[in-house]
Amino acid sequence: MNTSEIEVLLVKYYEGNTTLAEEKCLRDFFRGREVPASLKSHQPLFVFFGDEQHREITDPDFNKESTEKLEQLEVQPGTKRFPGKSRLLYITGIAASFLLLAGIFLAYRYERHDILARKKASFDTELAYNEASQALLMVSSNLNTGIKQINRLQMIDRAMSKVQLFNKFYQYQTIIINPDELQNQSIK
Amino acid sequence: MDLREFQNKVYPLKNKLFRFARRFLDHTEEAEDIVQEVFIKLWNRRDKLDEYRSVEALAMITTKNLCLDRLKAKRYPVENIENHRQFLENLPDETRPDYSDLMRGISEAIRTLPQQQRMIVHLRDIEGYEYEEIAGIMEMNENAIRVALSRARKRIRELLTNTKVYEYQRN
Repeated sequence: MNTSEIEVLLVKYYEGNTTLAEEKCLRDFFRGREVPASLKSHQPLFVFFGDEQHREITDPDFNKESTEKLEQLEVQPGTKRFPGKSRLLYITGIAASFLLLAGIFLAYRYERHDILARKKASFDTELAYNEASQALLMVSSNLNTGIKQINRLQMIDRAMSKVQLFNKFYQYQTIIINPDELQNQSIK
Repeated sequence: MDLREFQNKVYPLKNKLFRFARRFLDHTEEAEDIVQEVFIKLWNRRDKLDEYRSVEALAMITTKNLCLDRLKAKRYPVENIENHRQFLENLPDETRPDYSDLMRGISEAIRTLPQQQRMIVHLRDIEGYEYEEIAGIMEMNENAIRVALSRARKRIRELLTNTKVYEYQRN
């Protein structure tokens, strides 16, 4: 590439109109040995650009350190996912679900207990009713036999009233046979 | 995308990302930190990486954004060329950067460009991206890229000739 071609390219370069290939031509030209004195002042810039392309990270452990950092991120995704306020929310959520579970469990147990108790209670009233009616039946039948005995007593009573008539007869007899005796009796 | 695939696809970009970040920050260690931050950002989006047309463009954009964030947070002093020259001249000889005065002059000239122009020159003249790709990374249109690039190149040229005059006078 001759000097005049380079001069044309340089004009295009400063106007921002060169292609990447043309810019590479310029860099290659100025890195060569045969740079005419008229173009020497442009040389350092293109040498500089060529040098800068090779500037690199010199730390040989850079990739290793980067990987360690990325792996550290992997280890603690839980703490990353729930920072600050939302972590509190997370814990509250867990506590709430435990309470809910406990509530359901207790409610179920209570319900079961209640059903059993009601079953037992209804069983008891039936039994009590039967027992009571039996007892009452026994009482009433015994009462009937008792009443029969009492009726017999009434017969005695009637018989006794008949006997009383004898008593009266005896009194009148005494009055008729012995009036004095009557007087003595009334004095007593 | 698993770790091995990620290492094969993203790790090879490290030097490009490093150079880009270094052009922003003028600091080697900071630039290396940025590259690792970019890796982490991309790793966190690894499930969606295949959806992007170019992982490289995404990595460059992420680098640019992280550098801008860092510059904002630190209010990085952008040194002007004279301050930087004095700084270098006051350093003991053994800690001076070991590239020649001319190379140092160019580095300083690029440093004095407005940030956007500095990035565009870097992406074009050092990384060799097409205008379309630069437009994607800088989130600007192609025409604006060409205009900015032309201005930046002319400005560097001006600064270099001034520098040469300055050095000639000093000798």
